Amino acid sequence: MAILVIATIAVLFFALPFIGLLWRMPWSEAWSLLSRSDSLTALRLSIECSILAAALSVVLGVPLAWVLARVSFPGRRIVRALCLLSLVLPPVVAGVALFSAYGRRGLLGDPLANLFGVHLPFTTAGVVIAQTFVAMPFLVLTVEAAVRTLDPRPEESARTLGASSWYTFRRVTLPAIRPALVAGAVLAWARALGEFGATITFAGNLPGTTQTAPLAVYRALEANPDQALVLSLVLIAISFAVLIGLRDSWLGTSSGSGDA
Amino acid sequence: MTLRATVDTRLGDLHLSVELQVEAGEIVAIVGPNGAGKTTLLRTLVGSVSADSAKITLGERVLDDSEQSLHIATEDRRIGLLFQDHQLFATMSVRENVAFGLRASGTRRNQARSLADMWITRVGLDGFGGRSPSELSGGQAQRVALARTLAASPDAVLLDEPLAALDIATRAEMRRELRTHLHAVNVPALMVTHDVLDAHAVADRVIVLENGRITHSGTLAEITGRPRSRYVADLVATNLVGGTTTNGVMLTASGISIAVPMSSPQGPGLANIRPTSLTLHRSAPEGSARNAWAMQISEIDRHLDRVRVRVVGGLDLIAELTPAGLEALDAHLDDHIWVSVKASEISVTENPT
Amino acid sequence: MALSRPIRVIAPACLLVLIGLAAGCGSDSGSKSVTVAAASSLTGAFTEAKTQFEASHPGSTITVSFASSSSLAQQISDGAPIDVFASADNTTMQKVADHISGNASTFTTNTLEILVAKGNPLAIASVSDLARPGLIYITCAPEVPIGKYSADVLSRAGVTVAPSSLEPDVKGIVTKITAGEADAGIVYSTDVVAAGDRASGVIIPTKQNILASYPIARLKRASGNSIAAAWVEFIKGAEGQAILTRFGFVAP
Repeated sequence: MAILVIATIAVLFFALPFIGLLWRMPWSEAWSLLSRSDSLTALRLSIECSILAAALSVVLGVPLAWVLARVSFPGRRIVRALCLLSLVLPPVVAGVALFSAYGRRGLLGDPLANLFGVHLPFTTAGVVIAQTFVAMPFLVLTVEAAVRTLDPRPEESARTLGASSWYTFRRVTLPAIRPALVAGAVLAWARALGEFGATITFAGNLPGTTQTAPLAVYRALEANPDQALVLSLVLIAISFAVLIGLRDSWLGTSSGSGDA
Repeated sequence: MTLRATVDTRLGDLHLSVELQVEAGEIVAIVGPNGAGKTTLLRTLVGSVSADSAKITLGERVLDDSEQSLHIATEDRRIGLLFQDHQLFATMSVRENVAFGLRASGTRRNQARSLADMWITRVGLDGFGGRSPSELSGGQAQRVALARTLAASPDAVLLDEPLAALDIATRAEMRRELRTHLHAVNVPALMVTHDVLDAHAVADRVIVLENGRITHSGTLAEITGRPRSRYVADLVATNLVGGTTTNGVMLTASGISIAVPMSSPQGPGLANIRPTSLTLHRSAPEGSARNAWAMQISEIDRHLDRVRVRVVGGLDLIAELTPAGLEALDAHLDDHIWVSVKASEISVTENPT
Repeated sequence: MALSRPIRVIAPACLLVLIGLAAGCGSDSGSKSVTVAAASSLTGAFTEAKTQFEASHPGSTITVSFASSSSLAQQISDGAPIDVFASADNTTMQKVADHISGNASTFTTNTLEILVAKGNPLAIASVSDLARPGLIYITCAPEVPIGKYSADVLSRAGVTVAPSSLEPDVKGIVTKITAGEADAGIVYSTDVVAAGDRASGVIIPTKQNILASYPIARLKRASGNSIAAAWVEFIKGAEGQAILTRFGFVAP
């Protein structure tokens, strides 16, 4: 009984803020506020950037997760901690760290700007970099856990059948961890969608270029609070729908591969 | 093509030091207690474990030469490995599993599929190509795994306890099939097993590996005739009786009829009668045991917790009792005694062809 | 069952702690503790003023919350427990007119300068130089006072500049320029003073410049709070004005 009571308190703790948001929502104007071009621009930019960030997280994060789970090398714990650091870093600090590296005067940004004329701050690419930086750990954690619990023998079998490590990874490992991969990618995507601090610090805030929905919400909170509420509702609705979908597909596919 | 390996390596407490040679078309069984280094040896041969010192050659190809710091990657060795629990790829169909090795080495999709189908037919699973591994029985899955290994046309095949996970009936069939298919591909084959009957039925030669060393090598008869270690003595401390089976009755060369399970393979074979399954009686037994023979005690070998009694008369059998059981029986050397065993306790392997 | 007993004790205890924390915050208003919300540009001056005030008013505690004036106004509208509000412009102060006690009064003024990298390597000399191609100019959104002032300066100078970013507050502009990410931005003279040797300032001629008035007011919830009143007087008095001058402000 006591557990149920506490669990109910916990649910209310999560639910009340959202109920409060719905309660304050200016429903009669919601559609006109949402269809304003600045709302739509920010939402479109957010969705594009977060999908790119999730994709980049998959491309870079899956091999990283595999190496962390399967290859033992000196300093592996340090490397893992380093790759997960942005998970706990205050996002603003992440933003400062990013421009120390990829900014105009940054370690890599300086040669990038001088040799290739590539500037990341104040560009949409910068937004994707900032989002990937904070979102990828979610994917790495999820996928690494999956690879760690994976039986290594199918991979070994594949190698004895003449498959290279890359072919084995692609045809044997990846399909086996697909549920975790999907889950990790969705979590990373959701984190990228909500990213604020690192983006505004590293990429700045310009409508149409770097102003993602959370930044637009922050700005609208001062200029037009009702618009901020409507934009937040859309962000919440999108994330909520995806998280519900994720739970089903995650449980569904993992039980399918679990008995094989 | 001959597989030659000289391996010397330490892994934890194990010091594996082995020199072996397997000819093309020869099937060699490795038996030995747990921790003797059987699996380490296989993994060294496929290259997933690097030995401290190794020289491994397959035909003209050098796979490992620690003096030259040469180590060929697993996928380039062309050595197939069949696991105990098939290790089929759960996310692929049976056909994709069998075609895997061909696809990995660049065979075009259509050709790989038709070769895979040919192998699926060859292992008796015609029409199973589209199924998922999860829909197969243990025996079927192991056949698919065998087809997958052989379809990659390896230059040598290693088998790690390939029959251990199968039920008794399937196991008998698989023994025959393994031998047939391995001989057909005519490459060196090395099979790890802990079952002396598997070794008997499948292999041409048996190697005993104990504590990282080869202690015996030869045919099963040669090894059981001269056991040189406690492990081998235990291993062969079973009663293997040769004869010809017809409809659940095996007739031995000495003219004794032994009731065996009705499902036993017909024709010449070997009956395995475990010493603990034999019961000794003072008088003719009544009851369900269909096999009862009047015999004579020729040896009593006492150990701490068990007693081995050798009985002769038409057959030559070892029975194992507890010291208390022997006490209760009040049996002594040269006593006449009745020996019984249930038909269901006997397993029969057919002779290799 | 063994599990439920401690939980039965812990759950109400947690609730009590939460309620206690919430109540504790609320009761501060009657004590000698005052919460001041101040525009970001006041960070240096008010931090020092707090130290001096607390020294000359033993037992009092001043807590200063710095942010852009517009977000502070938003917090006040949402009922944040703030006693005194010092804004960087009158427009923002008017947004919270319903919450203030008495009238807001101007306590200091600030002028604007162009903040550039240390030593002004791009040789920016005037407002019209900000329109130079390839130059990265950043500002704030028009809701933020500095954003509105910057836009006014640009329009007085007859210059159109596309900003690369609309920072949330003036500190965002300073941070990006001192870090070298952006080339220039219009900030308060006080920010140039605060940046010290990490950046340089370029004077904006008076006819293009804006004199920003900083109003201060007690909020209704602090109407009976003598310490809050003393703080406002301190800021407007000689000691407060001396500090403000040192940080680049100009007395009204």
